[in-house]
Amino acid sequence: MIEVSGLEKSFGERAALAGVSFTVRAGEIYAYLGPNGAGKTTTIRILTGLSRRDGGTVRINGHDLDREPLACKALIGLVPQQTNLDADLSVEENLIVHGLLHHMERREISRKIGELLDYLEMGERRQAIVKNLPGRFRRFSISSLSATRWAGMWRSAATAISNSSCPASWPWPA
Amino acid sequence: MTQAFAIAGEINIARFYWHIFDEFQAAPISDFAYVAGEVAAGITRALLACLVILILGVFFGVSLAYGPLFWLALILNSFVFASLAVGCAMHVRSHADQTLVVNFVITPMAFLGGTFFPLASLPDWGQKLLGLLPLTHAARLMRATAFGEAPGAGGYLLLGGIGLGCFLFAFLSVRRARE
Repeated sequence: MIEVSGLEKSFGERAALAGVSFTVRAGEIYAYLGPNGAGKTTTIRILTGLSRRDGGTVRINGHDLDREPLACKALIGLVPQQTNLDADLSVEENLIVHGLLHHMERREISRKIGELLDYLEMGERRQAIVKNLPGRFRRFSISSLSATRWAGMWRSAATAISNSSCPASWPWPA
Repeated sequence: MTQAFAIAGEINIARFYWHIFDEFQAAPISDFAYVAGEVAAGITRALLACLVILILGVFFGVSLAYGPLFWLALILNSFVFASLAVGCAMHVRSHADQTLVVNFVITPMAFLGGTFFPLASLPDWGQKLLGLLPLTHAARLMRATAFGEAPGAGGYLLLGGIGLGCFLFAFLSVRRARE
């Protein structure tokens, strides 16, 4: 569960967020919409620990973001707007780095990479260097990065990828 | 020094172009762990570069003493500049800014830090001024140990202290980068 209350953030004189509050319950799919400049990215950056807030509280599964930032981050899977891969590493190496960042065991990382790349129909690209991947496959890798851990991986992967780049054989996750 | 500091460029690329830095910040790892990892990478890179030069030196018939105190000075110097690199990389706003730091701080220091000429040949004020540079102390320690002399502990303590200060600067800079 994500509980956000009275979130505030200003950049100089300009208020990007002024008292944003919402709750996302476990298992809920929540769309956070708004026009350009409404503060969507700022909100997500604060929730993921990429930016500091000026006011308000954030709790993720009961963990306070200020007091237990690592516990909160361990529960978050993020697919950012920009490509965030190490272009000199292979698809597999990027996934290994991401798994290690989330304190996964090497054996578990290897198993999940196999599962995920099979699911994404990218098994043959496992050793491909990211900078040599076609743009379409970069999106797969971004999605994979966010999804190497915990039970929500399929949902995280599939919802992160636009329909146009989904292989036809993908089952939409329940 | 230059190789340890060179990780600043890579961190900038990770921040501004590849956006991998965001990935690190969103991951459940502490700022201390991130800084320690980057500094360790810088030290490793510096040691590898030095190793290449030392191996070439052997082929060219250079015979110097490479005892533990030599390596300690080398590691401490790399620690200073790798930590400084992480801190600087958090403050610059573009890759071009980073080049300015290299051009106006690191490169002059490489020439003025007692690496190419003995500071004893400089006037007193010049020696005192260049004594403020960490590279001056590192060069003195490495030169002394390479020639088989035993420098006092003071230089190592000073270099270690500067290194810890730079590490703290890097740690606080990474925390500040979340603004």
